[in-house]
Amino acid sequence: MIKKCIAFSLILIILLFTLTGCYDSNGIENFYYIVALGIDKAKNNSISLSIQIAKSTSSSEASTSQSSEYKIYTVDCESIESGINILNNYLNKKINLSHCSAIVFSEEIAKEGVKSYINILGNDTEIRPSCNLLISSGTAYDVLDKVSNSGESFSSRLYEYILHSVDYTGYTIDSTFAHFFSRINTELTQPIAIYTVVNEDTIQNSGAAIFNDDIMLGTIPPLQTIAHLMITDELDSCMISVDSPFNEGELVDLNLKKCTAPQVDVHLMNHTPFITVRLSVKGSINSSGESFDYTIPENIKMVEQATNQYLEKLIREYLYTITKEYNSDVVGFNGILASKFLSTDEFEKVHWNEIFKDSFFKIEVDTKITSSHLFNKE
Amino acid sequence: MSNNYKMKKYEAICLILIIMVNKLILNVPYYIIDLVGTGALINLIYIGVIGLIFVLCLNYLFQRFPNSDIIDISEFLGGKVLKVIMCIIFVAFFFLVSYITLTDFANMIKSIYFDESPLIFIMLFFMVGIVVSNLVGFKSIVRTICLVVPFTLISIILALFAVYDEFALDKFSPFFGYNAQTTFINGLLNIFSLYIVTYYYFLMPLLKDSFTFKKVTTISYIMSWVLLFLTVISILTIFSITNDTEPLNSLYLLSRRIELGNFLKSLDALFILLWLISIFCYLSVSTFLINRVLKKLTNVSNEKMLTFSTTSIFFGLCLVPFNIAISRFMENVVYRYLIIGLIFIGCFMILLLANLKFKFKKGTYEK
Repeated sequence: MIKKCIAFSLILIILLFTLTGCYDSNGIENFYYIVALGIDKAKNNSISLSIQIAKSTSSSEASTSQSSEYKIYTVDCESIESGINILNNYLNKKINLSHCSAIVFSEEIAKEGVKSYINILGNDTEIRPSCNLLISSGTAYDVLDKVSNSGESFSSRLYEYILHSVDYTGYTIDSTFAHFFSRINTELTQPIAIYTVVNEDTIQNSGAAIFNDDIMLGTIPPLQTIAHLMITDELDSCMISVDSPFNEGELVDLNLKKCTAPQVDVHLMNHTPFITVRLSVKGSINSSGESFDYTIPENIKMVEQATNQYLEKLIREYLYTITKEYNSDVVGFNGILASKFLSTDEFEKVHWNEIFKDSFFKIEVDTKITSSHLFNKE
Repeated sequence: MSNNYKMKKYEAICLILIIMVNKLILNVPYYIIDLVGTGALINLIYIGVIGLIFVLCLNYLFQRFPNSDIIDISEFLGGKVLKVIMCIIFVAFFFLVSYITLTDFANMIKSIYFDESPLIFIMLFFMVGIVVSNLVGFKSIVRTICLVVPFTLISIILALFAVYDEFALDKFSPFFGYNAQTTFINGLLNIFSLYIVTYYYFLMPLLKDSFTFKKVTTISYIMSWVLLFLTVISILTIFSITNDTEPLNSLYLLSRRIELGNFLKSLDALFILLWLISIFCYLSVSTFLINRVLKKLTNVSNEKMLTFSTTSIFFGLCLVPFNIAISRFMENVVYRYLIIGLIFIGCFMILLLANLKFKFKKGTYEK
């Protein structure tokens, strides 16, 4: 009985400690949760670090948990870590990156190289691998400031909404921090990131920024990102306008989706890469114009041929851009060729980086116009 | 609870699996990839077959020594001198392995979650757990392991599914890695990843039925190898073979990528909890084995009471300043050669010679 009493008392005493607070505990009120992080070039080889913080709206008027206001703080610093330290000191609350939706680099800084910044952020366990990575045509600050494109209230989800347009437009790519980090540290594929054009009051994701190692070389236009997504099997759906085969000057709007996975093959011919791309896509007609009767099977075949030619041209242009203009293997042809060699030592004799620019191509597209499903025949 | 608890077949398999899981958590798969590059898959199949042959040989050699571990066999072969030597070597070995495991893992969770907490506090939590579990008894450790293992296995399989989208054959090519010599000759050093073999030398007396030893070792070996193979596939899929960066804890970085739709994100926190329990189980098993060896060395009657002194020494060891350079050197260099030298060559030779002695003695007796 005495033993039981002692044991019971001990358990009670131990339980008492669980009811107390810790003197050094950290709750959410002790942190500033960053929505987006911008990195610009400043004077004297330093960087300008901008952080966007959503202001909390805890008043009774607020109907949702989403913030409608934001504040951007900018500081000139030597490194990201020192910048965050300065801001920690200024804001009196610790900055937390665990809800950061986007990391934005200005084009100027991207053209000088971003590897050191990416590797620093890669070591930060707070940064989520799914955080998006953007390259701004202007400054990174502009992107943070103009993210509320259509005049709607600011929300920390705005970055997600804007970036998800890739799912239905194909006009940009889905570049997350994890993908960029692994691409920057591999020789198999070169990095590629979302390119954001800054206008007067708005921003627009338009095409993609092409890198070689960690240095940005240039951009590809939105239509070419469709070609990139098709070859890399990342296309969900997109809209294209093909010249009507029935009436010059008229366009046929098609909604495209992939049919089967692309077949990409690389082999060497006279020490020059010969790249074969076979694509199979399915499409539906969105608008047909006046002179095109899509209820006649022969007409559909003609549209299919026109689409094949259009896509082949588009993909060829894209491949010429990344090979001849940029010499940057953002698709990963390197890995496909490497799989034909037994050892790395053997493959290194190929000197892929030197011969990639001489690549030539064979592109075959097979389009199936499956259904129009329009309610009115135009 | 008695410390003479004998394990059933599935409990013994779980015990071996938890040891393998700990090796996976502490970056062993990356060390394999680091040595042989993309040839890791071929290399794993190669060392897997060699390891399996080794395990089958162990099964055969242990047939003559039911209910004996390597310490008993050493005594049979070389008398008390060899027994004492082996006891000292194994105590030192288990201390070293436990020290590396705890310091490495404690540093990892400190940098992830407890940035401002002193490392010593984190280690103390483990120490308290080890003391309590060993005082309660081996049965409690085994039962906890049986509970944790299925969830831990699910977590590792989930990690494989997390990288499913990025899976491409060209990430594993060229299939022979840097060259055939690195994959097949230098790559033999990767056999250290099959470290679970160490525990086979102590498994026989812990089994309820010594006839199940053969089944336990073969099944647990194959399952552990499959786990290792799956983890290497996952890591090769998302990490590149490069000199520029090196993931110091690849399985954690892998777990951060796991998202189940848009609903479940940041699952790494759940995984860390599972791994934390599995590390605790592993350290408890190591401490139990240290006590068992010390019991045989000192002839004490109750090995449970050795727990206090064992954990005190262990904790003292953990206070030795730690840095990642030491950890890397220990895990990638010392560990490799120690396991190959001691477990795959030294202990095997003792077992082989003991069998010959047994045969010779039997022959003399029959004459």
